[in-house]
Amino acid sequence: MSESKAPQDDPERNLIEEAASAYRPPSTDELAISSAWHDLSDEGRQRAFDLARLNRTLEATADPEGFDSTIHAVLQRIRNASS
Amino acid sequence: MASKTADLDIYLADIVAGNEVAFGHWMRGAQRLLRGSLQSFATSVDTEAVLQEALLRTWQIAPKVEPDGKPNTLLRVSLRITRNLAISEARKHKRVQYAPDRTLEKQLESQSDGPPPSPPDPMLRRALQDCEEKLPEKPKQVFKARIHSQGGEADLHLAQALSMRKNTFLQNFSRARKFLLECLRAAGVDLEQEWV
Repeated sequence: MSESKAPQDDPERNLIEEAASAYRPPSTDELAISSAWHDLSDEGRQRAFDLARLNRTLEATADPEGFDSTIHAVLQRIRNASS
Repeated sequence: MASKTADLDIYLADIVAGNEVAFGHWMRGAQRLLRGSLQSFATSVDTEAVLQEALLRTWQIAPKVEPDGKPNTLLRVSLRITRNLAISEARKHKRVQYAPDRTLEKQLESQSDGPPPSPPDPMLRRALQDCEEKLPEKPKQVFKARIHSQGGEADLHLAQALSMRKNTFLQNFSRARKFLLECLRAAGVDLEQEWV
């Protein structure tokens, strides 16, 4: 996982951290892809995938309903679509 | 993985009736399997974007889903949506060709022997809150900002609101997570094992 590499040896660390967020830019037609994910190497993308799972677990633990940021983001998109 | 999945169709009637909270609970039970199904796509598509879009489409199609007498009708539909969307994205960007794999769906048709989705553990949440209070100031601000944004704000905007550069914000989030995981581990909780 990303924690295993020392920060000074890890030029992709910030991109991985950004791609592992649940935030995706609003988009009406195309899939809302993270620009950070786009700029990552294959190894960085794999690490972002693993880190996202850990982040979602942490977010769900912090939430009274157990909803992580992916769930909240989807629910917000549903509410936006119906308003 | 599928053998530990409960029958999430217990939420289907409420979801069809337009109950978003019920869909939230369904997503809580379904997400591990759906996200896990994207593992082999991790380097070829933005799996977070695919998952969110697939979940949205699942919500939209739910009123048309007819239970077929087997467990997890909606989850099996969602699994297909997720996989097809990932394949379509991978092909669109000419990355990799994937052969259809219905193994998980087949397992879900016959197995629903996992425990029903349980409510969040309040003791675990309290342990996390206790650890959060011990965070150094900047990582604490950043962690709270990310958590409160609920995936709705770009890191750039969250950083600007805290008068930080984006890279500083991201480094502080890494520090916060590392600190929290270590603090929880000291309290006997290993969150990194939750997904294993």
